[in-house]
Parts: sequence; structure tokens; C-alpha cells
Amino acid sequence: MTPPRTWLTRREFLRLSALSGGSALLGACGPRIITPSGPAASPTAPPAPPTAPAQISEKTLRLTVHWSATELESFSGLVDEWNQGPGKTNGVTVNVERIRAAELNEAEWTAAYVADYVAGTPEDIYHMSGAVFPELVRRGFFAPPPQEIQDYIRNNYVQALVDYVTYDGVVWGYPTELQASVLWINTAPFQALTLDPDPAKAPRSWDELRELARALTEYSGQQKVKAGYIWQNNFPEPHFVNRVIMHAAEGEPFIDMATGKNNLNSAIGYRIMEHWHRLAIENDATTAGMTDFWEAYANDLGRMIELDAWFAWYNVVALGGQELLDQTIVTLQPTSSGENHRSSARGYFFTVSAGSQGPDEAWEFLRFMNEKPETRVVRWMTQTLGFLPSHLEIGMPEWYTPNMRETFAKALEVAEPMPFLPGMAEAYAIVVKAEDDVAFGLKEPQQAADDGAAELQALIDQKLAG
Amino acid sequence: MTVSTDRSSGRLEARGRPGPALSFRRAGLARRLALGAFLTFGLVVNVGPILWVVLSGFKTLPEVKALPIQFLPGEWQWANYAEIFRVTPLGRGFLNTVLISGGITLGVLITSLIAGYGLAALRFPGRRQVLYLVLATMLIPFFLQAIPLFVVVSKLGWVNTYQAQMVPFLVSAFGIFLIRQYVLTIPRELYDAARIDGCSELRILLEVVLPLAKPAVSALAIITFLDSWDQLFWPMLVARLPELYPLPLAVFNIQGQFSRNDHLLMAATALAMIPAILLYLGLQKRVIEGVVLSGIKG
Amino acid sequence: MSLAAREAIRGYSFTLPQLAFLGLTVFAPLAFTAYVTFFRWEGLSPIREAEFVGLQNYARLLGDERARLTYLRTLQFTLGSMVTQLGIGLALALAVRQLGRLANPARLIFFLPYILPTTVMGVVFSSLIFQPIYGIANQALAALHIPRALASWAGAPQWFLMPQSAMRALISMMAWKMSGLYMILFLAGLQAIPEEFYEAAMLDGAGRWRRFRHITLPLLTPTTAFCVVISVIGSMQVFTPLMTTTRGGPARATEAVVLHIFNTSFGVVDYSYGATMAIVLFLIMMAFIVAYLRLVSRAEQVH
Repeated sequence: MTPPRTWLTRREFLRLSALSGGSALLGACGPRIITPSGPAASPTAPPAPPTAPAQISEKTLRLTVHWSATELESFSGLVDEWNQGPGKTNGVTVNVERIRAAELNEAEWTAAYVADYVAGTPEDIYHMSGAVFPELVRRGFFAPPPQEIQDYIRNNYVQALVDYVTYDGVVWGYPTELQASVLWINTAPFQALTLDPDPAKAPRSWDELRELARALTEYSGQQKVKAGYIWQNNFPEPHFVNRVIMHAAEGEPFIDMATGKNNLNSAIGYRIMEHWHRLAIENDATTAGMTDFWEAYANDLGRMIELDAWFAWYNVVALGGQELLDQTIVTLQPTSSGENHRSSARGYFFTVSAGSQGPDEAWEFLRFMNEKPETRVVRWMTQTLGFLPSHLEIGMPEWYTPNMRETFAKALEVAEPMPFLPGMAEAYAIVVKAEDDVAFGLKEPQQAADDGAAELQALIDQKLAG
Repeated sequence: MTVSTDRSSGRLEARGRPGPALSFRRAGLARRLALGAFLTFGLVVNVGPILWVVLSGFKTLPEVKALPIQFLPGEWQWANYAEIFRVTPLGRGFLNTVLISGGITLGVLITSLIAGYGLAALRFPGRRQVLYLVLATMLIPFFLQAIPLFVVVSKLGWVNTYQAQMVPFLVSAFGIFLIRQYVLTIPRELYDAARIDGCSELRILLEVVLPLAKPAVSALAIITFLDSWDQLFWPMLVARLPELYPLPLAVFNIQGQFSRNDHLLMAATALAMIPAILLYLGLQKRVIEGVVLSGIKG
Repeated sequence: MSLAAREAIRGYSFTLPQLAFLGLTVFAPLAFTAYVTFFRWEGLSPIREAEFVGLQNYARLLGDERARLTYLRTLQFTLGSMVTQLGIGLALALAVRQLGRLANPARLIFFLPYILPTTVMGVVFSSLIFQPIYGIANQALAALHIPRALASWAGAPQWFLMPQSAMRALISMMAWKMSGLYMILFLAGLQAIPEEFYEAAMLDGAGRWRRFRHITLPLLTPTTAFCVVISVIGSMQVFTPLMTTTRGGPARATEAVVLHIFNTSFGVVDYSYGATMAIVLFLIMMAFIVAYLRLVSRAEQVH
């Protein structure tokens, strides 16, 4: 039913549509929407914003990050070091802009980046998320770094992260931090329950995890008031990341990038769904339906969670203080057998837009911010935000406990790369839907896995075909 | 509460408004009790969450998340207010919002009055079609217009300007429709008579219709102002510099990806609601000003 | 020139400039949106290079079970919201008029929720009020001894956190916010009803209910029509309240169509398919509004 793709058909179509009143306006406005830079073509220089300084020799670059005001403030201090130093000498000022991130919405960022891009006024420097990167990089959204920067990144950063930002043989940016997913356990209630808070006795297998989750779950009358395991509804990303980790630990990739097939409903996929089913339904040991995950850990509503390294600062120290950190132990995520543990390696990275007004200056700026000896960004991300370092020569945050150091060091050795999948945000949403179906008792585990697999496969096929 | 109430309603009664069929004072005891309960319930349900926002703005972050629930701050954190002005351009946000939302509101009032009156009171071929076209503009999710619109705004060099935040919203389908519906309720004889006397349409609009339509115009002003300041997506696209943030962007500047500074967010929100409340207080009497009195009887 | 012709010219000059402006800011983008539904276009490459696919996007939508569910859910939300918001709004307007000297503060109280920005409202409700364990809502319901069955209509006790109750909680939250708006609109509408009608009816011995049924309701029709239309338009496009509370979850129980469009257009970066869903939503709303306004104006002619 698709008309053959000929010029004539399209012209007929256009003529038809010209009959409608609106398309006259489209004629006036459409071409302007159409013209801006294709990825390969050099973009038209955007008109200078009216507020830009009037000096001609000066160049102002726009850098976009998603941090809140407080984080942004301290980051701006780093950028000022450039603006007052080499930036001043070279006449290159970097303006920090913020993109809203309150709802962790990748789609919103993409919308803004796409809008800027098609308007011919792209930002110059992005702090790029792995969720958005695959979609954009294959469309030529970014300017490749000079070879020596790529070499520097290859030689100085955690290997898994270098793989993460490599596409088509190009290393696209400076990784800013490392996210490795582990199991966080609040041991505060252990004494009352006569459990041993020794990290060496932390659960290693799914059975042990479920057993502990059950033991940590408490009721008041009919109502569940404490849950052993924190179910991250409303936050799809970890479901996907944990899937990747779990499948790898069981011996197969979650998404086989060679064939493009997903394993959500493989034999292993079924087993994982069974595991969730037992944990959430039979043991009734999750926070599903009880609390949003954000406050669950710090408020002692839920006592275990499988999540990334950022959790340490934002949900443990910032919300629960030093005391909660001292009570927290971390371990690698349990596996079905209790052997062959895996973790993940992801993170954000700084990169430069293909439509930048000054890609060379932008990369020069990023080199100043990221490279030795100051290694400004990674140092700041580690010390101020408590992330794991992406740079090999920077240590973990000083306040990490010995147990955290040990576990994260092991996690790095067994880090599983994320699959390269455009439309990643949607893949997250499909996985959380399938797992929510099980956790809320809407579907049998196998049914949920089959439905999710079909949907995910449709997305992958569409994306890999396009 | 009573003092200010007496004053305002006293003014109303001084105008000789005949009051609804049953006034509170004249009502029987059962009725008064029912109305009192209704009012108390409304007070709890409606003011409760708002009060909660204000109180949370005075707490520390752990207190906001505390379990069991903590109603009052242990120590009133006035420092939160200093902090929000330090971390985000809230003062500038006030100014910008007054400018932007004020400008939009003014523009919408003018364009809506003219077109709404035209659609309701003037007979011309195709006016139903015009109404449907106007309504149709409300039916498309904004973010789908946003990208093409952004391209135009960007080509005009308007990114990071005030006009980018104002101009696209100067005509409101909602406003036109609201005024049109309201003018329909005004008896035709009133402006037909003026027309026979030879008044120009503009004079009829200003001297006959506008005084009668004050409740709708005031309601429209409040709604337009609030709607335009509740926007996030469009300002996020066109206002990239903190100096140009409208109030909501300045407020949400406090929230990060992982850090939810809810205590600061609540403090900023409490402040941010002030202009809206002032506007409402300023206009609320107009919203209920009797058409009956000023129009037909007067 | 005839009187009718002169009136028509004024009519055009009063309305067409605004229409033209809306044409530039809304119809042109709308036409563009409609145009891209005939292509396969992600929104990033020049549209000249996009593949023309005829009606394929629409055909795909017909067979898309997930999309169909988002439309159904949106209708459910729209209906629930319209009934609660307009019902409560009208009840408030009528009650507030009975309050005499307390009317002014009462109006302010009932209007306050509308002043709270939608985004903040989402944070406040999901983390402080509708929180099952320590949220104020459950505690208040328990303290007031509201029967379980009744409370569960509003979404209690799990509110946003269970697929079974999330939609109801959403409707409750929106009723909290929007009822004050409809109260204001109904109050403005009530003011336009000449007092003489009531006085005449009272002389005829009509009771309160009959006065409401035969005077208030019919004469309020233009206001009601306006409220119905804007409530449908607003609810069918519900987006921000979802983004700040459930984000469509749990298990997609609150995935309304505009949220799905947004995620399709920008999350999946499948702009033309998102546009197709938007155009279909547009057509559904348009059909409803045309039919409804026809109905209203026919009813008015009967009166």
C-alpha cells in the first residue's frame, strides 16, 4: 500500500496537500524548518543572541548541563577557571546553561537538543547521557575529538567507560564519572532481628536475597510498613541496567548486539522474572505499592536496593547522614548460583556538538577541564558528588567506607558494558513495564516476559533498521 | 479573618446587592452548621497542602522527609530563604514573570475581548467556522507546535529574549472562547439598542459590553496569568540564560537530577505563589461584581 | 451597503486578525505536524530526505494495542475529571453564593489550589500527601473515619503506587487543583443570570430544586458549555501532572496519550509516529467539540 518512492508521487502529494488551507502557511514556514544543517553539511551560523557581548573577536560557547542550582554553582567555579585563565587569553568564553532534569526525563533533553539542532542553533558542549547518546551519535550529532584527545581518553579512563563512549571507532567524549551498580543494605535493623551485619555474610544468591528481604519485611496489622527490598517503580533506568547485569551473570547478553535479539523471554529471562515474582508476590518483600523509592532507604521504609554509585551521596549521605552511611554495607548483586557476579559501568560524558561554532575551541576547553594534572571535572565529580572516578588516576571519595571501596573495586573488574541501543529511554520503559506487571501481580512471570520481549524486539528492529 | 471579611462584604452590601436567595445570616441553624462544616472541610482540604508547602519551606531537608510525620519545623529555618535567593535568580524571576505574564495577560485580554465580542455579537457568514478554527488551535499538544515554533523563533533571533516568551501567546483561543461564551449571556437588546443609536462597534464593546463582562474579563486575567506562569517546557527551550528565567524555571533550578532539595523547593514555591495570590485578591471582587446591578438595573 | 453587510465586515475585522495570528503560531505548526505524518521522519535529518510512506503511520496506529490503550485511558481520565471538576466546581459556586459575608474568604480558599504550580503540586502530592505510609491523606481519612470503600474511590490507600488506584488518585489530585477554577467560571456565569427570573419563580412558588433545574441550569448553559469544552481539552492533553507524579506508571496504568506521544516523539525519536498519534487525538477532540457545541446550540434554540 506504500506508493512507490518516486518524485512524481511526492509532487502529487504536495499538490494535494496544497489544497488545504494550512499548507499555504506550511509553504511559507516549512522550508525554513527543513533547511537547517544536515549532520554532514556544515551548519548555518546561528544569529548571535541579542544578549551576547558585542566584541567581534570574542567567541562565546554554550555548555549545557542538567545539574541543580547548588551543583551548578560549584561547577561554574571550575568553568570560571577557564574563563579567567586560558579562555581570557584566547577570547573564548564558556557560558554554562542548565537544562531541567527534575523528572529524570531523557525525552525532555532530547526534545531540547533536537529543537536547537534543527533550528540551527545547537549548544556547543553537551554533558551527554548514555540514554540519549546512541540515538544522536549515529545521526552525526557530535563533532569527533582530535586524535590526541581520543588517545588520552583511551589511555587514562576506565576501559568499560571508554567502550561506552566509543562508536564507529571514535571515542566521543570525556567520561565524567563512573556508575557501577551494587546491592545496598541498611543493617540498622539487623541486631533486633539477630542477623549478622558482617559484609562477608551479605547475600550472594537470589535465594539468600529473598530470604533476607523476607526477614527484613515488617507489618503493622494488615499493613506492610517496612519492606526488605526497594522496588524502583517510577524509575525505569535501573530495571534495564539490572537486567543487563543479571543476564550477564547468568551467562548471556541481555541484548545480543550481533543478532539484535533481546533475551527478556529466554530461559534465563524467565528465571529472572520468576525471581521477581517470588520476591514481590510470594514473599511480599518489596516496596511495590508502598513507597516511591526516593525516600525509602533513608527513611528506613525499604532496606535493600540494587542501584548505582550515585546512591551513596544523594540517597544515603544527603538524606540519611553519616550514621546511615556507617550502617550501610554494599555487595555485588546476587546471582542465581551465588557465583559469577557482575556489575555495570556507565556514566555521563562531555562532548561537542557537530553544529558548534567553534569545535576546536570547545575541545580545547574540555581538555583544560578534564586532563591531567588538574583533572578538574573528575576530581569535582568524585569529591563533591561522591561518584566513582572515571579517570584511572583519581581515587574514590575519601568518605567511602572500606567495604564500599572493596566492593566497588571488585565491581569494576566485572563491569558489563551497556548495549548500544538507540531509543534507550523507551527500552528502559519496556523493561520496567514487564517487571512491574510481575511485581504488581498483573501478569504471570512468563506472560510478562513474553509480552515485554515482543515489545522490546519491535523497538530494536525499528531502531536497527533505521 | 472577620475584620477583613466585614470590610469587603460590607462594601458589597452597601451597593445594595440583593444577595442570594438565602444569606448566611438569615439561614436557619441547621443550614448554618452545614455551611460551616462545608467551609471548614474546604479550608482543611484546600489550605492544608498549601500550608504544608509553606511549613516545609521552613524545615531542614531531613525534617521534610521525617518519619513519623513532623508538622512543625524543629527550628524555623529562615536561612532557607536566604539560600534560595543565593542559589537561584528568584528575584529576577519575579521581575521576569511580572513582565512576561503581565504582558501576555494584557495582550490576551485585548485580543480576546475584540474577537470574543465579534464572534458572539456580530452576525457574519462563516462565524461558526471561525469559532471552530479558533477552538481547533487548543487541540494540539503544545510540544508538537513547540518544535516548529521554536525554529521560527530561533530564526528571528529571539532565543534568550523576552519576546520569545510572550509573543507566541498573545492570542488565546481559550480567551476568545471564554469572552464569546460570556457575551452570549448578555441580553442582545443592550447592544442592539446602542447600535441603533449609531454607536460604533468599538464604543459598544468598550462602553456597553466591557462593563458587563467584567467578571469574565477578570477571570480571564487571573487564569491567563496563572497559566502563563505555570509553563515550563517553552521557557526551557527559549530562556537558556538565568537572567531570563521566569519564576517557575527559577524555582525548578533548585531541583537536580538526583538531588531533591525539597525544603528549598517548597520555600521557593511559597514565595512564588505570592504574586498570583496578590493578583487574585486584587481581582476577586471584580470576578463577582454584579452584572445585574451595573448593567440592567443601572 | 446593507446593515447585514456592514455587520459582516465588522465581524471579519474583529475576528480575522486574531485568527491569522493563531494561524501563524498554531496552524502552521499544526499543518507541519499533519504533513510529517505521511513520512517516516525522526525529527533530526532534513525532512526533504525523509521517506514518504503514505498512510503507513495511520495503519500502524490501527494495529497498535499499546497506543489504543493510551487513548482509552485518556478518555477514562477525561470523563472522570470532567464529572468531578465540573460537579465540585458548580457545587462550590452555588454554596459560596449562600455564604453572604463569608463568600470572599471562601472563594479565596477554594481557588488557592489553582495557584499552586502544577509541577510543584506533583512533588507535593506524590511525596507528602498521597504517600501511603506517612502521607497526610491516609491519616486524615483514618482520623475522619471515612469508610474504606468510599476512600478507595478517591484512590486510597495506595494512591499513585498501585496500578489499580493510580488513575483514581490522579483524578482526585486534578479535582483538588481544578475545581476552584470551575467555581470561578460558574460564579461569573451565575452573576449573569438576572435576579428577576428568580424573583418571578419565587412568586410562582417554585422550590429551590425547581429554580435550579429550570432557571439556573438552562441559563448557565453557555458557561457550562465552555467549561465542558475546556475541561475536555485540558484532560485529553494531560501531561505535566503525569510527568511529575507517576510518569505513566505503575505498569502503564496512567500512561495517557500525550505522555506516550511525548515519549514516542523524543524518547524513541520517532517524530512522525508521535505526530500521527497527535493528529488522531486532535481529530477525536475536534469531533467531540463540534458535536457537543452543535448539541448545545440546538438545545438553546429549543429554549
